[in-house]
Amino acid sequence: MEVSDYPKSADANVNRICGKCGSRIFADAPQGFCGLCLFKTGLGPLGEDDESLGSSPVAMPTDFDDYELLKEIGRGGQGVVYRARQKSLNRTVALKVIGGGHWDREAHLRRFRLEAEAAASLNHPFIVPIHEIRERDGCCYFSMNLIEGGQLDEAVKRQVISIRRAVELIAKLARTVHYAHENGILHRDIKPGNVLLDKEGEPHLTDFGLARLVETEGSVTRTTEMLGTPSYMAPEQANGNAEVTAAADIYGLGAVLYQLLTGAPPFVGRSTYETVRLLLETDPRQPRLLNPKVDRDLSTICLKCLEKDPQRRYLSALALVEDLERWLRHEPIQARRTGFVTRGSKWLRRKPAIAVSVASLVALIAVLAIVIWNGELFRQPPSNAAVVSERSIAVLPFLNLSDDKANAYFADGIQDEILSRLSKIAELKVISRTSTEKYKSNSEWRIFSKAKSRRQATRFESPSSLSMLPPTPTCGPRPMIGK
Amino acid sequence: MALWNGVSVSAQNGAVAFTTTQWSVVLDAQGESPSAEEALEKLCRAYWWPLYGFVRRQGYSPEEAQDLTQGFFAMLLERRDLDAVRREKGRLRSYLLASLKNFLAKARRRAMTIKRGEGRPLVPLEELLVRERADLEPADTLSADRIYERRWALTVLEQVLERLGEEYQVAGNGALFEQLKQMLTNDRPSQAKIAQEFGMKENAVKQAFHRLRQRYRLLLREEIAQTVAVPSDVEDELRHFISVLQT
Ligand SMILES: [Zn+2]
Repeated sequence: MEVSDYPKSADANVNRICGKCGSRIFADAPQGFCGLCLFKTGLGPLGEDDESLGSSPVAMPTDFDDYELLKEIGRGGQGVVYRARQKSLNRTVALKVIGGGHWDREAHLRRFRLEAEAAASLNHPFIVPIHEIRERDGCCYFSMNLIEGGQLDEAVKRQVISIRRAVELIAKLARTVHYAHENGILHRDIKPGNVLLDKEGEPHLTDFGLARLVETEGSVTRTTEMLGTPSYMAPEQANGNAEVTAAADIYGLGAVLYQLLTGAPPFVGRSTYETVRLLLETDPRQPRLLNPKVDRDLSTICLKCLEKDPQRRYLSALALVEDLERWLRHEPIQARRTGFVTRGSKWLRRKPAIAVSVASLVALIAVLAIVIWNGELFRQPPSNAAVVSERSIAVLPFLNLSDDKANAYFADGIQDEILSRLSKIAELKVISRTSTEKYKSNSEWRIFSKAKSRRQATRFESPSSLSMLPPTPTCGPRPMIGK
Repeated sequence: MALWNGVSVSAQNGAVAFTTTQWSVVLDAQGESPSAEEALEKLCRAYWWPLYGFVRRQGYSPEEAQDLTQGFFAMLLERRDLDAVRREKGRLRSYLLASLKNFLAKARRRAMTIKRGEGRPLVPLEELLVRERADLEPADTLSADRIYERRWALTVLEQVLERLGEEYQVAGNGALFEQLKQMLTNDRPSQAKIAQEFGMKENAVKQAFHRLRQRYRLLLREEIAQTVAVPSDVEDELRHFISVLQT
């Protein structure tokens, strides 16, 4: 069954015709090249050699001034990191080479040097110390301590880390960042790739102030192009107008925490542009909607770091540390949860056009809730009356049927809010979100609808189904949002 | 980006090193082998795009297709039945497609409740979505098999170009690479113009291009070598890709 929901018509995406072989080049061609011609070129002889060319192809440079490059160990938007041997001191170090870009080299290198030298003055066990900063052929490179355990993002891909461990890591990082802030230095680019774990699993921050090298004042495109993903960037950095302060680093810490808790950064668009747009215009989804194991307090801490307005974030990295440590000790946290209503109205302010449909949706939910509450849709089978001694209710996930992905947040938020309101009613048992989460995907819903009729006959065969779901699904077609 | 680090190539010696390719590590492994697991994971990470495209073409939504693709990887990494491939000295490309078809058929029979793999997904949603945007191929005229083959071929090229560009970048020749690489598919983006722009002699530009083309050919073969079991398959694959893109 090959179905037509597949995108776009063919011709719309033909960029052009290859001038050499005449085949069509589609928009997904590698770096815009004609794939056919690339393969044909590739098929040519390997040994073909012009005497004058010399025999050595361009390969990984192994000799780099005082350093011998041993192995590539990492790579990012800003350059390549090698394990290297420093000849003069005969020690193994990490060497980061920042490739020559199209920016104004002189000025940037000078500024980068200043930043890097300032960062090099930081002396903290969890900040990767820089030994030496040098230039070569318009490239800038510096050597630093080699941390063997690898980048945080690689490490979490290999192994799932617990929520507690994630919080401990961020608390340590936040303490480290606080130390730098006290010394007047901002990091500006906190992301999982800049956190290295050592053999003991301790987190070390690297690339302090490096973002400066690739920033061009006031230019989002430039900045994001050079920095790679804007997924961890604070909104004020992305729009390039506001002055970047310590609050941007607190945002970065929150974004990394978010990633560790949910498996994804707070904003993910299909393109850099879309990610920036989501970052500027939408609120992140609550971490606990993505990972039900995250509790409300931790969700609150994380979202406080990710506030759009820098002034609404934690006042200092230390304040964040303290709240995280309170959470670790199971004490009440200081951060206050932004109520769904507040968040909703902030969101509506940004999107006034759909306020009307949201209002009608809310009305629909109110009706629904009352109906369910009165037991019209929800009847317990008499034979099980003893077992189901309490009234229970399940709120099924809402589905975002509009084109705007950003509305999904609202759909989840509504379910979340209804659940939390209902849970305050003592005599009502509220079926947990985890048990209803699976009704989110379309296919499940279809299965569920089919199974419904069968279940009428067989329901409550086993008492275990009690804990899973109410005997009859609560509502008909799921409400939708938007158009 | 991490995704494209999938295949590591030892490039110094000019010859394609077969003994250590990822796929042969996987095939040679007996029983539990962490290095084989790692190699297979790297390969999956590098070549998810064709697989995902195949699943999407079956009519699944992006979310469903992601779940299925991740589920497939999880299954693959969990229990690999590689004996048949070993016997046939099969290619990764064919092996993955056959396994995926098998997997999807089973999934459909089980009315598809594919559990997400425990832990982190192999390919983060972020990357899927970035790529989803590039579903800009002549899709409605292509079968799922053809989408798979086409994307596989393009993925190979992407890996190679990326790698090549990085090498030049690191050597401080990124800008020159941007110009020279045009010559890989086009005979004349004027050598004279490049020479002028970079203050080089025309002959030097010519030589630089020859070096680049040599390096490109080598990396291309090495990349393909990562996915086949016997050396003679490399040229075969190259021709296969040409025929895939030709039609
Ligand atoms: Zn062509």
